[in-house]
Amino acid sequence: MPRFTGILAVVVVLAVVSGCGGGGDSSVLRATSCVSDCAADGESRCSGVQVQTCRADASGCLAWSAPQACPVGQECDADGACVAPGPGRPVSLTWVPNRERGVNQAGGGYRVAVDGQQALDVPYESGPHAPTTATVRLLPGTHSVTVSAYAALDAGGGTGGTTSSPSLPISVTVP
Amino acid sequence: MATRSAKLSSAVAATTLAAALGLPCRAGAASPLPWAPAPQGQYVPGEVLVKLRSAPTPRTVQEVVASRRSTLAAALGSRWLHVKVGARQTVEQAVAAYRSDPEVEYAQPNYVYRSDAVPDDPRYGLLWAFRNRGQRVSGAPTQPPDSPLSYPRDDPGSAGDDLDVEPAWSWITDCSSAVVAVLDTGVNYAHEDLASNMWDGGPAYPAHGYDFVDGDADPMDLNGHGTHVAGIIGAVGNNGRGTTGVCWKARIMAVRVLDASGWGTTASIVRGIDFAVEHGAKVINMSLSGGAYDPAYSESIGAAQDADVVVVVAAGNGSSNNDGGASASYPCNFTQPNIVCVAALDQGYRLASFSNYGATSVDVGAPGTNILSTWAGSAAAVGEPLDSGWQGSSTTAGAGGGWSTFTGWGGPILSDPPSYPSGQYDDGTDDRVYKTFDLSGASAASLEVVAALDVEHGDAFRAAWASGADPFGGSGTVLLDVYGSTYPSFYLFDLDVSACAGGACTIGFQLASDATLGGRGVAIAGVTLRTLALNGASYHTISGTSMAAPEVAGVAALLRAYNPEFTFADVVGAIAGGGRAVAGLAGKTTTGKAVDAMGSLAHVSPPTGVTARVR
Repeated sequence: MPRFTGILAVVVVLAVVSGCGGGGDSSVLRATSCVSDCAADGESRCSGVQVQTCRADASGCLAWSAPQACPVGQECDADGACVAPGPGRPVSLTWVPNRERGVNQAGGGYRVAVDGQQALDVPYESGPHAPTTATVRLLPGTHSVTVSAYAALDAGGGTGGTTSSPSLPISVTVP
Repeated sequence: MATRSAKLSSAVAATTLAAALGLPCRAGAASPLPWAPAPQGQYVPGEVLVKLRSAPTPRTVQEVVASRRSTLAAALGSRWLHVKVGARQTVEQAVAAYRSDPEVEYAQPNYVYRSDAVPDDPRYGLLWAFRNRGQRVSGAPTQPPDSPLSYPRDDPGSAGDDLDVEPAWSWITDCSSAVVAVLDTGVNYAHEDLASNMWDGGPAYPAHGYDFVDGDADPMDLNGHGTHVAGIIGAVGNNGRGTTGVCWKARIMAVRVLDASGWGTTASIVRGIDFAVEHGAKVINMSLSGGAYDPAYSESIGAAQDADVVVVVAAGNGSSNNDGGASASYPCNFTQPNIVCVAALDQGYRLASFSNYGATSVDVGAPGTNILSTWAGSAAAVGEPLDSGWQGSSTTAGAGGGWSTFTGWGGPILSDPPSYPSGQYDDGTDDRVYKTFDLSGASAASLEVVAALDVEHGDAFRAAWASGADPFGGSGTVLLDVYGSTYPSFYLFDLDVSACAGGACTIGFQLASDATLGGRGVAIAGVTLRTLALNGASYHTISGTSMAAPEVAGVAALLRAYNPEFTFADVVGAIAGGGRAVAGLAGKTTTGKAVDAMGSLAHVSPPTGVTARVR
């Protein structure tokens, strides 16, 4: 009986030590010990003038990233999204993640185009996938929005990059 | 009668499932890859190397690295730092910024070095499909001496017309995360260039697969075709032996669904597909074709689709258009989206003369002529003279006269009656003819018989074998039992006589008739015995859409291994989207493209599911 209890104690300690990023092999231990800091992968919030993004770590636990500055020319708005200041309304875009490895690693990502003009670069940052959300500011009217994916590999075998065809365009009407 | 009808039906069914067979070393330790710098400008995205003017301290690292929103990946030597730059900064911008820092002596990209991606396999130079240098393949002095006749057109072809796989090898050569099932005549899993790339079936399947022809767990190849296909997909690369496959490292599952003569049935193929799916294959190659729509077969491919398995198939070797009902070829003409149907290109990247095609049924082209790959053993084909050594008997020997040889149509013909096609064979007769062959040393054998027949219902033309005796004397095994008419055409019967291999084998033909009616009889224009003595170091060069399909199956495995999240639809999309337009395939295939391994690896699909919300 004492020996059995001792084994249980070891299991409990392992569960605590492995935690979210402990690198243990047991998914059961991770699942029971993982406490996520945020609700959904890709969610963002402002931290002062910087932005934090909710990301899954290697163990699948969700946590806020370190605060990062918004891209040059953008600022964190009330909804926790980096968006260029100026006239018009912010429009949140989402799309389904591409499954190409190159899109979801350094050098990969997405480009958003509005009315045929490139509006935003959404590069891979960290985690299993490049971000699949973005916010653009659009003037009143009806706009055509597409998203392209890109990766570092090119068809010649180098790293000159490849960009996909644009997604099917969606029509966005801003009142 | 019922028995005879069933046999004939079997023969017809087997005909429609004929394998799309093609027209008819040195040992050494693995050596390290030669390494070379990548072309100018190729470097790891998001990384730079920074050399400080003095040894790094926590303060200097903080000031130099962290202040630029970069992170320290590692220290290299005494003053070099490996730095990951911020996601919103390019490598060029980061290098420029670091070079302007007074604490930094030098900054540079983290350049990519890659293998020259040319394996050291000694016969690699003949693999034009992987690197077409305009080399001549047929008759090359390094050809294996027993390779059969090559495909002469466009040999040599044009440099650069190839699978474009060498650049892809700079990024991935190991496909072992994607099991590839080869549904074929089996695989010589002991071959020097395949043994270490075979699927591990554990104690249940120690021979790396299953044999649905004989119903056992030994899928040894008794033909050679399946071993050739397996080698194209995954002969061990860079091991100093023989050839290489599209995948240098692979997990090949051997699923034997075709017998030693290259024939199979719906039952064996369906069970083979189910086995592959059940045991985790992510790519299935089927270098086989037949002419009948087969619902059971179609359903099993649908089940493979449900299991996210890509199925790569050969277009067929009839030089015909697969589009349209009468000329359809299956499985190519099945419409499941997980099927990739492949036509054969020659060394000049023209559609091979034998290749089937179809603007709505055949998807892509790939190299399919003069393809060198592994073979199951030492093969021999002997055309047996029909005018000597045969002994026969007849229970009537009357007006018909039983079997005899006459010269006609360019050579000796063994016929019954001798007057074929004039006159008729005897009623109520049992005419036999047989000959004994020495098959010692052979592991397998097949018998090709070219015959024309016109045999009435109630009578029978039979072929059989026995060990050194009259095969119709009670101890023989019947190989063929048919009636009907092919007149005036000759027909090729492919018969597996492997059970007779290893010693003296007597092969015979019988024409037996009942008491009523009669037909023109039987004329045999050719008898060829093909033997195979298994060994682990044979290679052959053959041609066919059977060879083109595994080129694509290998690329599919590369894609799945490189992109672990890929679904079958992603693989099929990348093969089509990354292909190279070829004039000879325009209007002949759904894409007009030849498969391009690097193009497919670099292919990026357009995003889907874009939604917007105005805030």
